[in-house]
Amino acid sequence: MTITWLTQMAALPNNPALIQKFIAQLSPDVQQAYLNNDQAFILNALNSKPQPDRNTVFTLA
Amino acid sequence: MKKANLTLVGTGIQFLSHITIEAESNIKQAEKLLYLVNNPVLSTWLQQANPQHESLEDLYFSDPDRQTAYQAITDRILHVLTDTQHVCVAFYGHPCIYARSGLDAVKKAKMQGHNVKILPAISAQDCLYADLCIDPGSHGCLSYDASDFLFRDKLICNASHLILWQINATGILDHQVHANPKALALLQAKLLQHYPPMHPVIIYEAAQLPGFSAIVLETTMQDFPYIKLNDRSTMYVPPQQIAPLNQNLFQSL
Repeated sequence: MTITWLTQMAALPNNPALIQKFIAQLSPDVQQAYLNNDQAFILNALNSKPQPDRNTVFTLA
Repeated sequence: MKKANLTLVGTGIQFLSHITIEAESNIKQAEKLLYLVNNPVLSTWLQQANPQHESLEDLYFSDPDRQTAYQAITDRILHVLTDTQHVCVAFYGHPCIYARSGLDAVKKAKMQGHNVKILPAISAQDCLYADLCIDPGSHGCLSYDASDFLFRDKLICNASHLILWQINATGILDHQVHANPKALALLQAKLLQHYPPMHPVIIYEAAQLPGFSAIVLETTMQDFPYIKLNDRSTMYVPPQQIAPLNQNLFQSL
């Protein structure tokens, strides 16, 4: 489940060897996303509908 | 009227890594948790953290006019406060930044005599400083919403760092998700009055998921409108010059 491995990843220190070891356990498409720094791949897979973006608060008032 | 407690917290930008201990404590121990976040994994984590949860997402999309939707969220928070003692509202990022509905709720709740508290959190601006190695204390830093910057006569100082938020939403007032090329062209024309065409520009996107890096696209003032933007894109413009020293003031010390 995505939340499980993302939670585990969030707890890792900034140690490339540890991170690479962890990523090697994930599915091939997720490994590829990490290799390409393509977080949009994960976000798109998660987002089946539009997400709140809290865009502009600009008003003419 | 019975006094209730309203706490606004931010979950930071990066999933879980940015949630502070005090934010987590309030999320888990609130009698009722309301939340508006931008990714389903974070929603799931919040739902697991507090069984008494309620998403504000439906209200967010309840009206094409954002101001009306924000008002509906404010009203919902205040309504929950009438029959709940401890309410926590979680927004992603920083709970004061681009979270007018929560801020309005806090102000109104305070006027109604409730106890209110906003906990600071890691914002996209904090991530930008870290990822681009910028110290706002050097040269100063101007930070504007891109639409606000475009449509109003704002102070522009090309001797300071300049950050423009919501660049993808420049000139957009509803839930449209695509950039407005005409608005970007107008923004470029305004900036070109103060910067040369080849002045560097960075389109920045903080990492939202742990293990990923920020996206830093280096471009120029003349080319930035042609970069593919998304809702997370922020524009950073480095200083073009060092502001001259005011000798009179300096020597009057």
